[in-house]
Amino acid sequence: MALLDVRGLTKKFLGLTAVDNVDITIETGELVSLIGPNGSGKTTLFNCVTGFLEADAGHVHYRDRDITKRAPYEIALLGLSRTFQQARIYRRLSVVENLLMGIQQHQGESILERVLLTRKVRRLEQEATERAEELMDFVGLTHLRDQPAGNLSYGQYKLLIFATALMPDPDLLLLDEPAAAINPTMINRMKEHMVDLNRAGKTIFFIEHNMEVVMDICERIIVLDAGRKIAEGPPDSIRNNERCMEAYFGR
Amino acid sequence: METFVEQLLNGLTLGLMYASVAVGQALIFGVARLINFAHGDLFMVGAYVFFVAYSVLGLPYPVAICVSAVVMFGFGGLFERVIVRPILDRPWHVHLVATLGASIILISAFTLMWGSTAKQVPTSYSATILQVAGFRVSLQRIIVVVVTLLSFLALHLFLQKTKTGKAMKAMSQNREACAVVGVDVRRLSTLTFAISCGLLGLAASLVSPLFTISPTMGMGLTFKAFAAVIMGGFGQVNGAIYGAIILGVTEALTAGYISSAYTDAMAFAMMILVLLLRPQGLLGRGKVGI
Amino acid sequence: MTSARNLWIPAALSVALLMVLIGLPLVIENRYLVHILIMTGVYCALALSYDLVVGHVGLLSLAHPTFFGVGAYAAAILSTRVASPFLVNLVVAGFVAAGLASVVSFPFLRLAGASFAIGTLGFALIIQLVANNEVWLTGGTDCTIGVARPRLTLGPWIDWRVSSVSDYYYLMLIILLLVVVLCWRLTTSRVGRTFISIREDEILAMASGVNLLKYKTFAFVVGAFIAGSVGAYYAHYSTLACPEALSSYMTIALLIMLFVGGVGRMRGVVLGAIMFTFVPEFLRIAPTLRMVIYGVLLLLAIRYMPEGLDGVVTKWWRKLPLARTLASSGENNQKAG
Repeated sequence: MALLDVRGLTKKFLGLTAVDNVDITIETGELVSLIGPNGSGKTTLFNCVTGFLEADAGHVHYRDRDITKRAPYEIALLGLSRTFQQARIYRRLSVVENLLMGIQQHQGESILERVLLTRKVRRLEQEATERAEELMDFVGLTHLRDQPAGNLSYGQYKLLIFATALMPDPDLLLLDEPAAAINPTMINRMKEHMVDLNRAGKTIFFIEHNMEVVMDICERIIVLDAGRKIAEGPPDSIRNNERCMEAYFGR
Repeated sequence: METFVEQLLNGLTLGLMYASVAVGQALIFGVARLINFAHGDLFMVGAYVFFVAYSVLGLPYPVAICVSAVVMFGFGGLFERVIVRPILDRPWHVHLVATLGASIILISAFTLMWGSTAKQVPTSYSATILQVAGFRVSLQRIIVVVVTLLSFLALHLFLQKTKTGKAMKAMSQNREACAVVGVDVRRLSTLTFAISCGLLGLAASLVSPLFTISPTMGMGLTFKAFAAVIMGGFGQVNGAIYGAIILGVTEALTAGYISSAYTDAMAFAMMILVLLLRPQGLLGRGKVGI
Repeated sequence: MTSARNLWIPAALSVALLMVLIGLPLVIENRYLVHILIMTGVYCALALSYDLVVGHVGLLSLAHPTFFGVGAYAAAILSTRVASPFLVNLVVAGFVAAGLASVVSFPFLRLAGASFAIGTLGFALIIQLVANNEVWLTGGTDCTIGVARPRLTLGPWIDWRVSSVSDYYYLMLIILLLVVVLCWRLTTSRVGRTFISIREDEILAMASGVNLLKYKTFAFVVGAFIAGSVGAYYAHYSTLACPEALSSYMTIALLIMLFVGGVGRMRGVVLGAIMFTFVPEFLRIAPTLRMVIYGVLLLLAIRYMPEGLDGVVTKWWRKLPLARTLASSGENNQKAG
């Protein structure tokens, strides 16, 4: 059974169909990209899958579980991590605290235990901190550990967001434009990180505009245009698909 | 029957007083996207300006009305420049705290200057009782109703016909587009405050002879006007007027026939109900609720 | 997390501060000044609980004094009608306020942004009218009077009849300490981090797995519980409960303490409460003039000091040579450890 199974997903805004009857299946261990021109409904699709928007029709299954009408936090706690296009971070929390925020709700202790600061909570915080140190090391932010996240550069934001999404050790990562608006060096780092993770067994599904990134690292590409899925396949087949190139570049 | 008509007229006067505050709040919210928690206190300032002009300086009534309206027009512009302008681009909670701060400054400053006891400013018209179709009505009430309604009509025409007025209306419908088209957002914001405060000065000089004035009278007005604005559909000038009049009349009728204790509570309960029916925020569209 | 080695400085400072606070009524002869200290304590506790809601979760509730007032009335009514002891009243008042908060949080927490603020304001005004008009329950504008002086008994060991101003001072100090410890625990633990995540970015918090409604309700209800209990103390101290306790004036006073002192910072909020109550009494500034000054301070704070007085003081402190030495020694410790 597929890790993520989207069937007939439809979302309308004021009569305008943003996502139109889309089917998507992601298998465990895949590295898949979602591409399409601006306004083709990519982010809307992500928002429907992660519960931030309620779909008008269709179903989303995650590991055989129907998550269509679930709240965003419930979906997150099921092991489905997402990032946002607008580079959201907690600016006034430090880098390490941002990372800790990425996992602490997943560890499942009660509010009361937290207030009492029980031994269990201290152990969990310790574990979380260790994991945060590992990930800071992985993305190379260790030297900024206690800096307020608001002081970081845009490229560093992106790395921090990426690392935060990894904190709960999610089964599926949904990344919204991880390589947008950052410099080529950063893009290469991001590419490497994604490939490394995928080799280590993580399933990644991401939206990207940078065709170079997409063509380089993906096994499979899904193309959206005006809310519909118009093509799907390995990079070569997409590159040679006239309809896709037309939708994308207007040629 | 006689008391019913009297109560109705009382309610209408009360409603028009609320409306003068509510119109300003709706207009300001439309143009500047700011909820002014000091608007009722600006009404209070208008009432005191009128008090000074009429009772202290002894100016004739029509002149005193004009003085109050003109002074308040200027004061409104000044208020915008000093209090509002610096925080206009900040989030809504900053607006709320800053205008509440302005409110407490106005209340305390006027208490310092004029004392906390309520003052009366009767005009010769308030004692003149007319017989209209068999009903006894104070002339002052008739003046209030007629002149306030005329001022609303003037505002309506201003918003419909003049270039500036049209820009204000456009602003409340689509801010981003206006900024792009080159509408001077800041100048409009100042002007909106000036106009709505001028209206307050006018209304305050009309209504004050019927009620008492005191430095703390504004806060209650602010909250009542909120209720009216919210009931009338947020940011809608006409809706705010209707909301205020309905509020005033209901209040006068319940006070007259049922009990005066909970008339205010009813207004706030209605306001909460409207809010709860639109949990997505007062603007009703988009994800960002205000 | 600060390493254990340089925790001794704040610890020593806290103990010293506590010693000073315990010693104060022994040194101060003027009983009025002790009364002002008590009021400062009341406002500190109230502002700290308000800051949980406003400063940490970012919910601009305008109904906080309502919970304070409801607590005061609950204690006053219990004390005058059934003569229940102080400690019972303290807890029951907290629960009454918390119960009311959990009931109203159900509809209000679904409101976004300013709708929440205005909704809570409407609620506060309605409760104010109830306090004014339901004379059979509250005594109306004549207040509920004759609240008993507290007497704390614990078996045969303790029998403390609180009667003098300094007794009340110590009682306040105990309550304030409890509130400080609770707020400190809440804000520095993982709960506090979750609170701040909500304040900083609700959408990201949801993606981090935060159940917004649960945490907002929790903060709102705990804040109300503290406010209600402090209200109970206040009723027993002033021996009455009046409608003024729930007025909008109180809301503005609390907002001033928070925003002038430093919203979302415990030290700042305490500083704000002291600035608001103790300093002006000490300088003998007339109450009305005081509010003009505070209004201006609030406007200046919101415009120029987003982190309040505490932020400014912290900045100055960091520039002092002494602070630099301490900081560098702390760093050395960390490197060594």
